[in-house]
Amino acid sequence: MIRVEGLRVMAGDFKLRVEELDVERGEYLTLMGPSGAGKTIFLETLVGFRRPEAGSIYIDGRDITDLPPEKRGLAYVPQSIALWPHMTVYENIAYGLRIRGTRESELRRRVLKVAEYIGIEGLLKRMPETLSGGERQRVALARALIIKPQALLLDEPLSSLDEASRESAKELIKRLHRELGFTAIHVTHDPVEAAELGKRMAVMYGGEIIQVGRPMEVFRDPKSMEVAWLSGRPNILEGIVKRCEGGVQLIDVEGVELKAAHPKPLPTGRRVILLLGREDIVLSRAPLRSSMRNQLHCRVAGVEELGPLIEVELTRGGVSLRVLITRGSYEELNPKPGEMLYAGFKATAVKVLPST
Amino acid sequence: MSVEPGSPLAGAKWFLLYLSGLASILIAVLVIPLLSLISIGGGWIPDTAMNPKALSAVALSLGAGAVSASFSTLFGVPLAYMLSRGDFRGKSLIQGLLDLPLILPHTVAGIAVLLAFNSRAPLGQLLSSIGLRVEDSFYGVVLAMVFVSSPFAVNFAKRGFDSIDLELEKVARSLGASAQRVFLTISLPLAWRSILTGWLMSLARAVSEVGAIMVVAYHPTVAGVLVYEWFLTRGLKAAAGLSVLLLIASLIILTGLRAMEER
Repeated sequence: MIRVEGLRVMAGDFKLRVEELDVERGEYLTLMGPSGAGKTIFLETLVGFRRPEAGSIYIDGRDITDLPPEKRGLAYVPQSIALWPHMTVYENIAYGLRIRGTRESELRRRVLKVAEYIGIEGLLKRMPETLSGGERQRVALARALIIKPQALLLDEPLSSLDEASRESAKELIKRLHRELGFTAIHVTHDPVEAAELGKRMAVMYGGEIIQVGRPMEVFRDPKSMEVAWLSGRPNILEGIVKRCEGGVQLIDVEGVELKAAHPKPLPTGRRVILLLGREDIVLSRAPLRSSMRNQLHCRVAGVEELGPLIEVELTRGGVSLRVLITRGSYEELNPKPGEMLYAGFKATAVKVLPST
Repeated sequence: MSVEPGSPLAGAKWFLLYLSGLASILIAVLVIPLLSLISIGGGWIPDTAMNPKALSAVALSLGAGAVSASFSTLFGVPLAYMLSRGDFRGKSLIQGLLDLPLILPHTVAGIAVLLAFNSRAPLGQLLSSIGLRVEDSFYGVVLAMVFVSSPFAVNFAKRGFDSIDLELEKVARSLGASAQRVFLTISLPLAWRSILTGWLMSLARAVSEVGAIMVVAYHPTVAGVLVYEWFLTRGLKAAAGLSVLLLIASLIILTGLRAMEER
């Protein structure tokens, strides 16, 4: 277990204060916040690259605050992935074991095993510059996991990937965590990513952790304006899986059928939670001719101005959706309560989480 | 002159002509003296190449230059790494100090070295007691060369370390490598090209040095000093012959090392 107590870190004029944070053994915690919130400074302090002014960090009850980074056993995966460009993929993965003086035969066996497990055994002889973003990501995970670290500290590990590789990287991370049960702290600015991956999520703002809880609790019950704003207040819907059709899940939500992209077919009858970002929905007066798999004819229930953006509330049967649009599209569309509009969104915009 | 398709200079015919005109003046100033040297000195090469004094001067220049460049690199790389990664008091002072030998007149550099290391000065006494007398000796030649050429070794190595993404070192530390191990397995291999370039530039600068060496150690005579001596005693053409010999030797070594570096 990782425990942080009364931590104070100064970085120039920036102050980081973390009164208390516990990460259980085997837990996957996401740390969500906007850029400049102090997430990276917090990770760097945990790994040992920054000395706190006050406070302590414990791993399984042992105080590691004064240990150098190499003695902490916390494997760091930075945003840039940082594979060593002068080493092959094999040497990159083997590095941590070489440092530990592992015998060559044992080392070879373990590198092959982890590479096979992560599906990169065909890349071992390649140099990092020849790899795609998704492949680099896999190598970085293999390199970190091979030393069986106390915890994995991931700093925005998916932000450098395109959308397709990001989805498969998420699935890989979920599978690895499920099967290996390592402890992880995963920093992200994306609330939906935080909710998809984290059993719990901590929200950081202005150098402090302002709320910790299960993602749905945080979304449904933000303890402050900042959390409400940062979490993006996505639409949260509950539904039941009907069937899978050509890689798309059909999900019944209060009598309305929604299509969601999900990499693996889910069992029929399974209760799920759906997350749909308010900004991922497009409004129009006529049905949209586009690749969006979801088109709902909805009634406008209300319109609210939120600074430069306008939130439109829609209902369709028992489903209610909130949509953010810009002032420009608001003026063009001019939606009035009681009117009917089409709401369109992609199947990939609907994130499926198991119901708990 | 033409430009590549898609270049922002496309169609700028007159401007390109104007640029080429100005550029050719500088190229002429550089190339014509070299050509004159080769055409006049070239005829003296057979004579010079048979002269044992000339040969040993060229060998001394290159040998002492290599020792000087290696010394500068060996002690300059740690300094470069500290300057690149560290944040300490007097850092900007050291950085300024490193540029000083580049602007100091070379005779002044020679006098400074001689004052500090002559066999009656405290440091010089210490060196003399272990057999490293500076005046008129190989060590003096090397020391004068190091004084004027080591900034190249340090600055190039620092540039190499500066260009490394710090995350590469941080990941290695988090995976269990000590700072020293990270330096040896990550930083040094990634900066080695720059370090080698620094060694080469430092060698080139050392071989071209005359002023400082003349003050500290006129004998044993390095090629640069011998060129000057022959210019005064045997005339312009003899000096040109020796110059071409030095030029050829330097070119062979530099292109050879560059080719090695490219691989």
